[in-house]
Amino acid sequence: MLLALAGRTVRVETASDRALGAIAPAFSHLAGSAPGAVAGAPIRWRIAEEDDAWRPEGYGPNGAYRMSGGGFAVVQGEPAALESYLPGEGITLRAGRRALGAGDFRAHPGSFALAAALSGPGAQVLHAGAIAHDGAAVLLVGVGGVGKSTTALACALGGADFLGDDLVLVEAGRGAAAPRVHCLFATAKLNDDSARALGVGNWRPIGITPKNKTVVAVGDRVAIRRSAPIAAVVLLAPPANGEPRPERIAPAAAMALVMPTALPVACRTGSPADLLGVVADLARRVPAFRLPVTWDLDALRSAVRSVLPRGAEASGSIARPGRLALPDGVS
Amino acid sequence: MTERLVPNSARFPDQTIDDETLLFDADTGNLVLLTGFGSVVWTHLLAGADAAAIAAGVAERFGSEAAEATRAFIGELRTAEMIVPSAAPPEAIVAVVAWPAAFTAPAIERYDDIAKIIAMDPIHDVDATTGWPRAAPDGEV
Repeated sequence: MLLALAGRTVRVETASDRALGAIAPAFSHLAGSAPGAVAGAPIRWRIAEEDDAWRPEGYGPNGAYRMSGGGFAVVQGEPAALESYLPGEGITLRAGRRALGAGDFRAHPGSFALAAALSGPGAQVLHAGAIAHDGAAVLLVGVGGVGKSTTALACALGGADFLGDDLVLVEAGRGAAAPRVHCLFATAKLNDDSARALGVGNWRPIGITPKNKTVVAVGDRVAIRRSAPIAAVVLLAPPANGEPRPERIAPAAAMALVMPTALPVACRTGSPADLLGVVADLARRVPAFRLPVTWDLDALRSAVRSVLPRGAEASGSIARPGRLALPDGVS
Repeated sequence: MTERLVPNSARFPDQTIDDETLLFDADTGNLVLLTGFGSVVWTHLLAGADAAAIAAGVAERFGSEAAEATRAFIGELRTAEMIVPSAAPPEAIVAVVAWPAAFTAPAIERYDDIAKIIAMDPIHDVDATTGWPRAAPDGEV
């Protein structure tokens, strides 16, 4: 299976229909891509399904491993999985059946290894959501639980394009070109109260995370955009009294606020200096706003929409409709 | 001969925007914000200026109190290892950095949220020469 992801080709190799079915919903927006049009050597992603008795023993204690030169691995004991990236070799995932069905994996398959493979001086995977109106993206940043998923889906259900709810790839600007955000996963993780407020409680879950969030595939539900220039950054804040009004914040403050949300991913998969460079580029080039969240989703949508300059450049690419070619019986 | 102090850029990558400098401590995960004249001092250090010359430049433009505050700030940078002694010969030509019109006290703000997260789920650094990831011999971990 070939996927075009943020300007790179990812070649998924697996003999496991279960593994293919596990990753398919998250990458549904990449179906129908044209690998010949994508630059650079393909990133090889091998997935091996292990039996339930398999354990990644002998690789050290659970946790993240970082090797000088860019190698990276995550060892997970329960459910058992080993995810690694080595430059020149690509991504390897060995996972038991329960790990392949786990909520976090269904939401963001191979996220750490993909982050290691795709990140560098000019691009970083950030802990952020993103939506776009008329091809201009708003990056949604905030600490875990503040409402990134709710805001992203509220906007998408209101007509915006969806680019992610939790992890996205941000590419630094080049010359006069604005920084860009690339959609990695066509999924969302929602708490029950968010699902109810959004009216998506009847969407079929594809997994439950350890934090009891429901994972849903959004590829068939909202419009997915593969990438878009970033026109604004919104730092989501706890609710405040009254209408949610975006408040402009200074670039240096934006840089200081975005960094902590992004570092836990970047520290494990790449160079903090690279992350600092990408975040600084973002802060210099794109206006940032602080926005208290609210359960008044119409007001929230309007507030997010209001930060976009009128007539923002529309140069993103929209995911073409289609489905991944799956073996019979795999959905 | 006084020691020459230079930014410890390997441990503290930095970015400056609008007179504020953000550094990331790659060893601890702390974020450090240099505000006020702190960013000016850092920019001069990055340009190759000598710490004593920076303090002298501040004294000349803004008076002895400002110079004392600058010296104390440079001492804090040294204690925190954000600047370290360098054995390399000084640059023959130091880049010219403009001085602002007014002095505002330099300050260091530290944010340890990420350090706490990283401490809870530590990252294991691995030597590239060991051929990783691989099974440890004899079940050793």
